[in-house]
Amino acid sequence: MSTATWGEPEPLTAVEKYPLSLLKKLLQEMVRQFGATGGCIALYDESVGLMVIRLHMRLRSAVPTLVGNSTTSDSVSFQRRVTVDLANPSSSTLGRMKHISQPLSQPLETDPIIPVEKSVLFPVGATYSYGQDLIGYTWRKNEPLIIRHEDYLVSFQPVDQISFLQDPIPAWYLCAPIQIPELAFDALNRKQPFKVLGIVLLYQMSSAIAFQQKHRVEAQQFSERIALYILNDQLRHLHRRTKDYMKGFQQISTAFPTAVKLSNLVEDVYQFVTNVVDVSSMLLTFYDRDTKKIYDVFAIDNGKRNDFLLEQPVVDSPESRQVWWQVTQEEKRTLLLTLDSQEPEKYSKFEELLKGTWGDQSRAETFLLLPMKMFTRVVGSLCLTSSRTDAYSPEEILILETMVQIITVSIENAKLYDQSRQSLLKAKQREESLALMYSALQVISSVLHVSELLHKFVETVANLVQAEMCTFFQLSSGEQELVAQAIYDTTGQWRDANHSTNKDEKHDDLIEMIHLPFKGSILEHLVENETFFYLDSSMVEELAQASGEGGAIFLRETHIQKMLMIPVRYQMEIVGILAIHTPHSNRTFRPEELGALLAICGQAASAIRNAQLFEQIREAYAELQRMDKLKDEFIVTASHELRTPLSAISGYSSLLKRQSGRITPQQILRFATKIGSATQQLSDLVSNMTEAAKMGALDKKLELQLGPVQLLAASEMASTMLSINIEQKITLQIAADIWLQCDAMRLRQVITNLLDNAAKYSPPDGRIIVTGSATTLSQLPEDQVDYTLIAEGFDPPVALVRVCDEGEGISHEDQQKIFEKFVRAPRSLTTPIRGSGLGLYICRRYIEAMGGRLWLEQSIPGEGSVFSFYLPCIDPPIEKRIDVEPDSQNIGS
Amino acid sequence: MLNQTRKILVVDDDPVIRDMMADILEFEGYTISVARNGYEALQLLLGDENYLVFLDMMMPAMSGKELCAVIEADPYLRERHSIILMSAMDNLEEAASLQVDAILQKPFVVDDLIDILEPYMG
Repeated sequence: MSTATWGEPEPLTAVEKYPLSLLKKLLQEMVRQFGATGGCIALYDESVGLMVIRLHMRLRSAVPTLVGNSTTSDSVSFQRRVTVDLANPSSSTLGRMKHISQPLSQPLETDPIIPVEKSVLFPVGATYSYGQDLIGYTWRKNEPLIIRHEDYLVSFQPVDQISFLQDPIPAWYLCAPIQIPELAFDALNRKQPFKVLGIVLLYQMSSAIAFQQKHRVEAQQFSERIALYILNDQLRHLHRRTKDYMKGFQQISTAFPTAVKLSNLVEDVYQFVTNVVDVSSMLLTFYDRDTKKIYDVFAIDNGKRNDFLLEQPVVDSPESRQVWWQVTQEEKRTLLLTLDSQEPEKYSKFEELLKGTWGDQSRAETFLLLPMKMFTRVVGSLCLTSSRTDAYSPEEILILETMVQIITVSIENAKLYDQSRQSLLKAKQREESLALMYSALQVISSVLHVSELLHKFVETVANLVQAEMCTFFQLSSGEQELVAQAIYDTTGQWRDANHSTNKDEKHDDLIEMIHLPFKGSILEHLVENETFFYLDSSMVEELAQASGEGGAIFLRETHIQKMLMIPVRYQMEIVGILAIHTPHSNRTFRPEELGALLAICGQAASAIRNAQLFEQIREAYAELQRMDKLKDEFIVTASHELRTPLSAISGYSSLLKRQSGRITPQQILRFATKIGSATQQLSDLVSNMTEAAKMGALDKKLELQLGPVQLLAASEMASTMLSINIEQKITLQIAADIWLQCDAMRLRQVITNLLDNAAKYSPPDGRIIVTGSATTLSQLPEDQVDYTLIAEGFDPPVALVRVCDEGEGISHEDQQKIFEKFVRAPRSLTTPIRGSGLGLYICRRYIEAMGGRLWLEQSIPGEGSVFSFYLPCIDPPIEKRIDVEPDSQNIGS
Repeated sequence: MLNQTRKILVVDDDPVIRDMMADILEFEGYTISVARNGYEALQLLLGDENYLVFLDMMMPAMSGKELCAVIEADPYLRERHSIILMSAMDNLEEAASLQVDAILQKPFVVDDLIDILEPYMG
């Protein structure tokens, strides 16, 4: 055994190895018993391979030079204590030895035996090799020996003759080897590095009292006693070291769970056990009451280690280990068997314990089972065998039991540690999946493009839970249907189901073909009430039957057995539904997976929301930019428009001034009219612009001055005003009795605008015809009529006005735009069409404000356009009823 | 002298402007021809007469700019006719890039018109 295992320095000093106090006691006793003057003890020193004198004692009377020095007084006090000890026979085997030799007559107190620090012969610290001097000789002879001083000098010539002058000279020597008794030797079963522990040597000063032969036997016995004491002391140290070792275990067990693994621990157990006792084989078995299984975790079969056990323990049920169960779980005892190969039947009932994971141990001589007790519970066992008979002494068993007790705690800790390591591992996995999720969320949150975001979303989800298909459905605007927006499909099932050859863009188109019924379907109810739910194959079939073609293909061809559906909600509002499945799989998601999915859905919901809002903002911004561009174009055009009447005003007024002397009154009138007309044009333009600005920016309700207006009169006025500026002929076909309830000025503006437009886009020789007819609302084109009135039984009279030109017409794509603010039929600036671009926008607003509608009735490129409007018609006021014969007038420039 | 035989051509799509130009120049003793767009003007310019052309920029059919390009490409046309561009303030930059003899900024007074015209008409 080595305490170095625990990394601590060797705790025992040489003094502790050879307990001086004990040796003194023994030597004193021996000196007295043998009536000697003094003696010394030499002990074998393993490190040098020599006998070393460790103690030399003598009667005080024989130590004249040392009387009165401090050592003496120490010795006295020491001796007193010793005396008390010796008086107690039960404390040692002394009592048994006393009959061998009578104590000498000299009283203890009168001439105490004290240690001799310095002596010529056998000084403390002197060393003797095998056969050297009297001590070495006795060592070699290995038997007690009596020799006279003269013979000693002759035989060994130990020191100078002169040296003896300073020291009393012994007459006789009695020398005996300190030997371990045969019995103890066997019991310990130790390999003996030396047979002789030491040599004890007594000497007699007085030549008159010689040692006798019987003293040889007694010395033999006494030296054996010394040997036993020394041995005992060694055992005590062994025990102390065992305790140190256990302390180590305890340290290690408190050091859990950071350092120790079960594999390391059992290795230490094995080292420990082999250092304490003889072990041929060892088996460590655990019982896990959770699994109710028995595990062999460590086995050595006659020195051969089973390395696989720690990774892959042998598992057994208690039923198949009934004997083990009986001994450990019911008797809960240490079992020591002395196996007699001659009588195998004697231990046949324990055969189960002797065979198994650690091979066949039935040929061993000794078997020991130590239960591992955790309080009253037995958590396992440690089994040992030895090829020696009676290999385990009760003391050793005690040590092993203690050790097992300690390691049981450690092993339980180790198991706990393993468990917590497992849970740590799980926690780590969780952390990793969380990290994955968060990075996924980050990806999702950073995407502002809705479609890209949804594709990322389904991909992330599918990867997160290792599903093969993940689809995101969005509720259609009326909540009637669910429309797929993104599919992540590792199987290609969906693509295959559609026989799509070219992948992505087509794929995306196809995705939006997947419509699932929502309102009134099983989904509606489930989405409303569940945080998540599964669709089984029968529910899928039910849905498929209610689905359109795309949805049915999706549901049937992707082999859904069980599909997880998670409503994605932003606050209370359903953003969509996430559907996750793997074809042909019946998977139920684990709670942690569901948790992750719900978390990611929650996050995705707001991300989707944000992206949608962003898209709206982007669209609004694009619209704003378009409007801005239109406004810019408008300003360019409008400034041009403004400049024309300004040029006229400027030109004519400066002409009046320049030619004031020679100008005729007729000319003045004409020029003034021109100026007036230009001024009117200018003021119309400005009011158009301000009206448009007002309507656009503030969306104010127009201030109308409603009253009866004769359509013909209003049209004539507009036509006359415009005819100054245009070349085309305007024909009015309007009955004089058509009266409208409207704002006269607005009506005139509308007609002027329509005529102006017609003129602008028509060739100079083109005709412009305005017709007016009285009718009722129900007679008008369907798409221009507000049927709520008709539905309520009203069919009010209206006047329909149409302005037809022979212009270039308006292309189909422009027909919808022309009523917007600032939009003119698109012509480049190099071939400009004059006009503010506000006309139709304003016109429509005016007409609608007055209870009518304005629309482009038809437009054929190259042939011309027809703009129409209607307004509520009223009976003509009686006093203004005038029959106007001609219903057409030609006005032109 | 070339100037002696020159006539004045007003090219503008707006009848108000054409009328006004005619009224003004009649008082000054000139006879003018009018054209409603660049194309009509070109027909006249290709004839035998030499013209001082008052040319509007923005016109349908053929704009002032396009007519300028046509004239510029033909040295004979360029030599015979003088071009005065009638341009608004915001188009001056573009007008200046054209190879014309002068620019009359709209709106203008009669004195400006006469001042710019006289060097060409003697």
